[in-house]
Amino acid sequence: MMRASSLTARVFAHPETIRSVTLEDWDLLIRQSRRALLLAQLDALIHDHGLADTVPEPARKHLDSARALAEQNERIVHWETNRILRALRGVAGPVVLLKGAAYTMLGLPAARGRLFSDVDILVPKDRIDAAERSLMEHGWMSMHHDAYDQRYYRQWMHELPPMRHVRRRTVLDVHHNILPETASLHPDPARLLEAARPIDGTGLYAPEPADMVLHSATHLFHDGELEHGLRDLVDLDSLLRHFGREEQFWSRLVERAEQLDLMRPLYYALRYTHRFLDSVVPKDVRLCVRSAAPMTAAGALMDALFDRGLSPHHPSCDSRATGIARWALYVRSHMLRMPPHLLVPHLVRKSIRRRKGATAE
Amino acid sequence: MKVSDWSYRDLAGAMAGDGVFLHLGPFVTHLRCAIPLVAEGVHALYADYRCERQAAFADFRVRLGPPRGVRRWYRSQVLFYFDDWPPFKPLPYNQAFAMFEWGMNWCITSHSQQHLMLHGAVVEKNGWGAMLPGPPGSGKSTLCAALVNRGWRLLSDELTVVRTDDLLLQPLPRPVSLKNRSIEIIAEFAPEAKIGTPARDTDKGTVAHMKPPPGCVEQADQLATPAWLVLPKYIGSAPPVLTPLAKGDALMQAVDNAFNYSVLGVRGFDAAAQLIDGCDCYRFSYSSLDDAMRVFAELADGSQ
Amino acid sequence: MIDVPSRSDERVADAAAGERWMLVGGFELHERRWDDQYAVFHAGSGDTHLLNHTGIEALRMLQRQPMTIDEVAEKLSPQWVHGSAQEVRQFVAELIQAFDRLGLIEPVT
Repeated sequence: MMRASSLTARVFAHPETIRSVTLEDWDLLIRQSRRALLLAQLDALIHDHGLADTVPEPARKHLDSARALAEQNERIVHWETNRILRALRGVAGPVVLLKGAAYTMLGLPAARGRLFSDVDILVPKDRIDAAERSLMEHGWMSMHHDAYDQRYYRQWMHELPPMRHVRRRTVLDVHHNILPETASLHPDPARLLEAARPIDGTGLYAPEPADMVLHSATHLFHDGELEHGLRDLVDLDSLLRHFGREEQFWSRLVERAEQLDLMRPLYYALRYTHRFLDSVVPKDVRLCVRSAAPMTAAGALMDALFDRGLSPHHPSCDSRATGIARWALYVRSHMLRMPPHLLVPHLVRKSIRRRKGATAE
Repeated sequence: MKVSDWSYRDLAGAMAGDGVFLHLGPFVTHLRCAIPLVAEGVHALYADYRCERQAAFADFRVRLGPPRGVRRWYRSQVLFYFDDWPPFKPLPYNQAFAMFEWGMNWCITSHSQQHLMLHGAVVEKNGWGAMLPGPPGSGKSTLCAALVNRGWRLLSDELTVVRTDDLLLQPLPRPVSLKNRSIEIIAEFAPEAKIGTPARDTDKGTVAHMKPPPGCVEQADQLATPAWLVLPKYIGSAPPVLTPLAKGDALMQAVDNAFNYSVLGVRGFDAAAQLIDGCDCYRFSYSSLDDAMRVFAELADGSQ
Repeated sequence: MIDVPSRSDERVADAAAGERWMLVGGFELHERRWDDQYAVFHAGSGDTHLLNHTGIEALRMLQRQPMTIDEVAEKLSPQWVHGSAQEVRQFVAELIQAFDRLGLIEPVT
């Protein structure tokens, strides 16, 4: 059932196949992986599987360069989270790191070689104004000055407009939930905060393992625009492989998905990590989440869309239907975030502004 | 096969068709482009580089062409594509070759983050390297162009690559970028220098590229040991003055002129500090290139 | 050598209140010395700073233990800092403020 539509996905699913990759294919593997933001993760994968001596000389320098960037990223996360904690000391309650920043500070395998540009944190909604004020006092400024954007974020979204530090230029997303207020699914953020666990020696918190998987799944299948879909899928696969070694994890995962109203994203996560990356999911877990599957026809359509949308956005992976699939997934992600009476004016506004931007260049 | 072994017709035809594989030091670039200005520039200024129709592996897949969409019909423009993706906004068509050069700089710097890269020229004599870091406008390119026409070997006019493992300087000889008055100054200073068609009205004014002098492309695999760090400053009608620079200040200058110092973390600090440790560091103000040649010749003699 | 800011900011008030300062924990400092110039690399921020004797001496004190401005002023070697007690204190207050702004130190709670 596995459908490895790209060389990158094939290598991530079965790292040892890299032994048979020719120099011509290395050329392609690097280009696909770079476009998918997976080049440094490819490097980490190769090292973790003891395959470093299979990398041909011309390819090696690209992996070295990507690794240097990933190492910088890791240092930035350590420093940024230290600075955020200082700014929010005594202001926002526990600071819960989300996504990449959490993986990095927990030292999870999913963090190895992961490139990302911003830090995401979750704070209780009733503390978010105080948190924002305090961050502004410490040099973070809102990146959106447009009144419409400000209102859009504050009224409908699950996060403040992104903030950028004036001196360090790093970007911070402050969330009070993991999905917009207007979304069709309604995870309760209080439950996420309650279950969050301290990260040793840092003063920071991370969601419990099952919640990290569910958030990653929700972000990929119900919130994001899939620009780095394969990278997000590799995250999920890595989290599942890592936490899945403990047997209790799987039952907890299903239990939390029910509690948080996130069964559908979990279904997709398990389906597509298996389909693209050959992740192993216990049979009883697969049966449990099957109830959350879309109906057969819709399921076939989703497969057709995600098979394209989750491949690297690289010309070597494009077919005639790819553009349409990406557009359909883009519209879908917005529909899941907002009911139509809000969505249509928002998309119109976005597209009109885009045209203005294009002619003003 | 070198570019000079190709007829212009064959080269332009291959570039417009399946593309050519151009060997630039350690990097292989697959170049596709149907713009005559670019083919002419490559044919004239890259004559000494290896160029093939086939290669198993390319470091960079580069294409230059008109942007898609409406714009192409009312304003003639050119875009630089890296692996089918345009990292920059389009430029006027007459700047196509300059855009190729700038795009190649971007390709190399963006994908060599494991090395310490300083913005600046670097030249070599007797195995010893002189680094001339400096922001645009400091006159480093002019000085570099003059030096490489007087017996110094060109490693690069823009990009000093210091390998963090052995602290040797990696040559990346490419055409030397000359701006505005520098073009005439060098044409007069070194009449034998081959300078390409100027692109006018770019963001940097008029820009022309000088062909790397003979020999430096062939020696691109010979690394140099850093010996001098010189901060050049052109000051009209000033006498040539070479002033020693305190090492701490030299380090801060290197850091300020680095492309990727922050990427490398402590590895960058160690490399930069060791680099400075091993170099004689100076500020250098001058107005006449002949004076400057004399000062650099004395530097080189002192090292023997 | 240190970029001493002329503009005051919110944290001067804290500093005056006898707060104790210390190096930000968990990040290494790397040093390189050339005569009176000390290059300091901070592994957290990734920034490099150029300090003189006085600057490095103060920074090392704050690396060892939390100290107030007065304590630092008292302990600084008289050979590098000249002036009345009040002038030295003012200098140290500004030094601490600059270190704070650069992310090198933080108040201890």
